[in-house]
Amino acid sequence: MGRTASELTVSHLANGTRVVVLFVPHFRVRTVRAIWQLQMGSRTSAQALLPMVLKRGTRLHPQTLELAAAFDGLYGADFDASVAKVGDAHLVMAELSVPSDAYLPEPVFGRALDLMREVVCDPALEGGHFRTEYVAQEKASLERTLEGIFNDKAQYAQMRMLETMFAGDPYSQTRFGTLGDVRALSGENVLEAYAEIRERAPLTVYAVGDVQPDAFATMASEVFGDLARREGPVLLPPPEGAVDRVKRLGEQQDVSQGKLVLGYRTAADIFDEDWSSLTVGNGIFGAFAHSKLFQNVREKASLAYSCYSRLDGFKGIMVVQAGIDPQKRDQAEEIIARQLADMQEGAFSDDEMEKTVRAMESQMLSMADSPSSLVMSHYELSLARRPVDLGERLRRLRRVTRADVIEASRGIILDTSYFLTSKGAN
Amino acid sequence: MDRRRLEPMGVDLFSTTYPSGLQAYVLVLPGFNKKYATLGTHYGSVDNAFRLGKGPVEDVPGGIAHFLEHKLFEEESGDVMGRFAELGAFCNAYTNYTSTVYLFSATTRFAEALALLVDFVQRGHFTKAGVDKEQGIIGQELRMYEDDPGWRVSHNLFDGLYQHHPIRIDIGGTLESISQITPELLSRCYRTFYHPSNLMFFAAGDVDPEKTFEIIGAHLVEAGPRPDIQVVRADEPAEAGQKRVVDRMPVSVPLFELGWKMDGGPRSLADDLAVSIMLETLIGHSSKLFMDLYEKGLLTDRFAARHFAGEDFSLAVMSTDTKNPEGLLDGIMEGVAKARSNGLDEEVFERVKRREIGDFIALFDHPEGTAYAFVETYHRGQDFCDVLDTLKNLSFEDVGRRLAALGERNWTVSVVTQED
Repeated sequence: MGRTASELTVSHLANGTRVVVLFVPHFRVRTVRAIWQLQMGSRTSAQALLPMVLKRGTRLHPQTLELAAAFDGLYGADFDASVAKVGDAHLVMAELSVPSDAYLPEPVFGRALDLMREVVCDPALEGGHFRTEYVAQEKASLERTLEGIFNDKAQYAQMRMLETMFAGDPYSQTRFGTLGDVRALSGENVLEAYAEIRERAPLTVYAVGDVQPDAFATMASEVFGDLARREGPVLLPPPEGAVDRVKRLGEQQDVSQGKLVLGYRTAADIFDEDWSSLTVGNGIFGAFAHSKLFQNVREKASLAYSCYSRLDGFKGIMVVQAGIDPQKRDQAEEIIARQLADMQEGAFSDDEMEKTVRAMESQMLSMADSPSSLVMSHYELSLARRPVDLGERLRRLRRVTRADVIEASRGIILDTSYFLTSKGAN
Repeated sequence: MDRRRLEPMGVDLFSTTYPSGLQAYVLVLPGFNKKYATLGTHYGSVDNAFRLGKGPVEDVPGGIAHFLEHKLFEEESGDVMGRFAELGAFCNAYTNYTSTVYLFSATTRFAEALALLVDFVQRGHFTKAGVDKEQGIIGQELRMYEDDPGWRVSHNLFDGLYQHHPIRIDIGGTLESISQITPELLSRCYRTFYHPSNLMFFAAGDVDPEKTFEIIGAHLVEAGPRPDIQVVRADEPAEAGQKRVVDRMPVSVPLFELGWKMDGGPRSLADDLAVSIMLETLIGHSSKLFMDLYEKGLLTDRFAARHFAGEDFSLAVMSTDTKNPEGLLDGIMEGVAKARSNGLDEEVFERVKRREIGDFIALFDHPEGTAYAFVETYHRGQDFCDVLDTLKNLSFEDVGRRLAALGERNWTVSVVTQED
């Protein structure tokens, strides 16, 4: 059995910022990640543009090149800011990672944190506004990112399926919002998003690696202490929504491989006690190379190069994706439906279940090696009020029975079937 | 068993060589749960013409190394993936231009997974039915790449830049070339290139090196005499084959790759690192040239300038999406010409060097990352343990000299753009 416990210390700054330190002494790199909790919705695109504009310059390093040079000089202190979508929550994140001072010819951690403070709290402004050229350039860049999804057919097909399944729900947007919203953005909108960050949005700051909790709490208050007083993270609500009737959609493009994406609603979600049972069910069904989907769609029917399923517990959905011959939608759907029916009828072996539980244990243990996984799993589980301790999660996983898996699988219902196919295909 | 200390990371690299010629390495990274092991052959897609000793030259169909990789996963006694899964281990493989690598990661039962890896890579089993089935699966894989504009733009770049070198051929081959693959051809290539003397093992993680080497030794099967493999290459001219390759497919934003073919002959680690640092200093994300082009909207933050090389090829590649490929090409060429007459910026060079040093130290938090980096340097005939010292010793002059490689006649630009 691997290491399951990292020393975790939670404290709060005077302004309500939650500080979480995960002490992992064998990491050579220290990672500091700040996460602001906002909402998906009409402001998604403005919130996505904000970190891109913040990265362009600070009051003391107004030129992007000066700022990049300042980070580079600190032995590759890496700084990035971006957004993520967790259920209906939209997260704005800023992350710093830098080798621990013990490995470097000179100490740089304090200086790197100070640069992080500049980016977050002291941006380059002109007359109280973000620089016009930075907003314009980053807006163009975000437009290109969204346009670029069209070039990645797998990603494009996923996006189209979610748009269909969640029409009218903010979750139907990408984490960058929509192209139309981005095109309509103004500097004013970015400033509004920034005001949320400065004044209201719940903030959690993580530090991972060879970091002393007390010393870090002091440093964190120097970086984030000037932000306004705020409440702690808001627990997310369990998902709503049921299948009315199955939505079927097809789209033709000049492609040689078809992309089939199926969206299902699941009865269990991350807020439920039987969540672990569903994750095991999904594992047997489609998460791994030994799973039913890969084995039957690819290995037995030679129909696809890849075929996988994944869960989003915050929205109570399962998504299956397969790259298949443009003529073979019906055949693929039929095989996939058969595999799900097998799950629901209990037609899976102890061996399949055993392999899945082992693979999931291995995945969980591997998460302890990755600062980003440690941070995100802790953060997400805390938003769902789930146990965050890895040892406890492993115990729950091992308690899942066959009957639990069948029960959870029976709550999976097809909602949307989307197929991107070649021109002229059926 | 040899042991080398890598400072300042404070880790040890253990190694041994077996009588059959197999070389094995273990990088001990205490504290990590994930253990990562790779067993690979110095055999990739470019090794498609070879002779044994003084024997005749044998030409084999494009994509055969990759096809072999797929087939090794299938055994008489059930599929290999499933047996790794029983151990809670994840097994995978990849084929690139210069190597084929089999790997697994495990958090528990490392020893059993290791034995399985060593066993299955040494057991090639090829049947007509198996070959037929794989042609279907790989056919889907090739179609998936065809729809990927990122793949097309790179493939076209290599095809335009090189006139004879087999880097022009896709790693997976073509639907036509894989249709020519037979069980006999697979056996022939397998026996030649999977001899232990052509294999290398590398593991990283919280692993016991002595036990690891012992298990490998116990599972190595008796191998025949070392084949005297000579890969056959046609002479590659210094000039690019074509200046421009434009491909049309439905893309929302055109994709752009600009490459320079550099001297593919024997190169030291210092040579290759100097080229990488030259590129970063010239046009990396904290260079003036990058920022100028970014602010003009000619490239995006997905832009990358990288050195891409194998034992007998070496090229510099700049890639991005752009709304204005011609404007970007002019902008880069102008920047290159300026740097060639005025030299690079020494301050930027110093910063880039520091960042590379920091990045190398950070690599040791990623067992997988060390494996990729180790395998790559190994197959170029270079010593991974020397990276940090070599980086530190690179001078501004060493790096500046590499600008000469960005010449006038050895470049190709590849663009994938919308249909008219």
